[in-house]
Amino acid sequence: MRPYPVAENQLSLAGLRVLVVEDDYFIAEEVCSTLREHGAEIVGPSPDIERGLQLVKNREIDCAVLDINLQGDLAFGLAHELRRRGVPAIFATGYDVSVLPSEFSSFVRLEKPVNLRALLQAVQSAGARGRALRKS
Amino acid sequence: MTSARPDLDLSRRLNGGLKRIASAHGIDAVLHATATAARELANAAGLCAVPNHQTHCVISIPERGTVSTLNGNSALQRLITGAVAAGEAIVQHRPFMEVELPSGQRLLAETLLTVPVGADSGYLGLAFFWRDGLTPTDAQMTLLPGLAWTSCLALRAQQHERQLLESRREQQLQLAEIEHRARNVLATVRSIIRRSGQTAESSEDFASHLEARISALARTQGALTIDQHSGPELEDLIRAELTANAVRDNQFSIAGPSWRLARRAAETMALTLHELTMNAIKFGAFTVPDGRLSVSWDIDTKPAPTLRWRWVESNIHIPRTASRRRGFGRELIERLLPYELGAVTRYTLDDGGAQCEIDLPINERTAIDVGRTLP
Repeated sequence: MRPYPVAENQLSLAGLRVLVVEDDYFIAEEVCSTLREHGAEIVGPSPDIERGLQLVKNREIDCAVLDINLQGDLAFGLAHELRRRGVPAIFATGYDVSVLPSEFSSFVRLEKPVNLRALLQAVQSAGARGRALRKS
Repeated sequence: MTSARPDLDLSRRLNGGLKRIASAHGIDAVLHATATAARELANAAGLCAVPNHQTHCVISIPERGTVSTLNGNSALQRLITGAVAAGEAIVQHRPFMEVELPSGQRLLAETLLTVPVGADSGYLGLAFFWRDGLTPTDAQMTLLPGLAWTSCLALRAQQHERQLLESRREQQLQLAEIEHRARNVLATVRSIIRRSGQTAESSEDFASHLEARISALARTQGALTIDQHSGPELEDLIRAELTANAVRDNQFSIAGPSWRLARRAAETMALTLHELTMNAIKFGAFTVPDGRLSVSWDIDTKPAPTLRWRWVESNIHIPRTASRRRGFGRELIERLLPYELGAVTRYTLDDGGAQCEIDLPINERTAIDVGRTLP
């Protein structure tokens, strides 16, 4: 039995490389296993910005799922680097939207606790966009 | 327009000036209104206000409609600060006294009337100034201290309003932080529920595990609320967990230097302690009266600052048939602690009981006041 019933519709993340940056082990684990179950390949997960940045620089990534507040450090620098490289990112956050700099207003934002269905849909569309950009 | 009776005319101008000061919004506006009133009443060229901390002074010149800041300890500022020390309104003459504004413009301030206003307004004193030849009459001069004090009250009100806004902002930030923590705790609870569901053998098993885990988390939240700034002591967390599970005093020993845990480290250590304790009760040191547990830790500074923490059970014999599957506790020790806190961990369960080693890097994620923690 699946712990979380995810409707078996056309959602497939097969072949998508998804970077996960999240400092909470449980959440990281939940997000990663959900994405893997749908065919995604996980890059990371990274518990902090430093390792996240290393992954961004050294690995091919189609999209990223970022927690904004990583043990008190805000992940905007990392988000900026992703934007510079044209990698679509999804913010998963417990923070009020007002803390988001306008630079990232186009990023998809999911509120914690993250609804896994919404996450899958967001990763599917962002990942497809990112992959198209990477291959073009 | 001039009135037939000069004193009535003066009174009307005074009234108009006071009204503008009282209804001004913002500190610059109050100073501007005061300087304007002083010009209308007594031909004053301008007003200079010296704040309590004396790092600069603010000059308002109504003729030019400007309020500018003069940084550093200017001659004008020194003159006013000296006059304030007298404790009452005082007139000074300094022929050729010149003030250079940030704009490069120069103006003469040869006669100065300084009124010490209460430091509560944020300002030590207000000084009206004149160029020579425009020096006011005694009658005009007597009206000005009243103007300065009205200005002082208005400044104080502005100051309070600003403080109120600041504390409201502060409050909103605190609320956001509380909301953030609440969401994090809920996320942890959700994960605990999911994990308990995956590892439980029956629904009774699920319910009792879940309740005990959430209680352990709740105890930590309580300790974190009490020690909000200092963080809970590691020893207290261990003692609280053992006591909550009615472990007898003579079955365990705890030894280690004072160690105050940062928030997330306290939560994860408390959950880990809970799992270790429950295992010891179910099939470890606390299944027999002679079984013993030793919990100890030490601080190593080389090669990197590290807390070496040990949980060692002894004096028991665990039958080989005992369950050794990887449960929630081992996931915490072997995966969560390394991931979140960069810990190096080792867990072994053999015939002699469980042993757990956790080497925590000392940094702001694991300790409150890192500098003081290190020997």
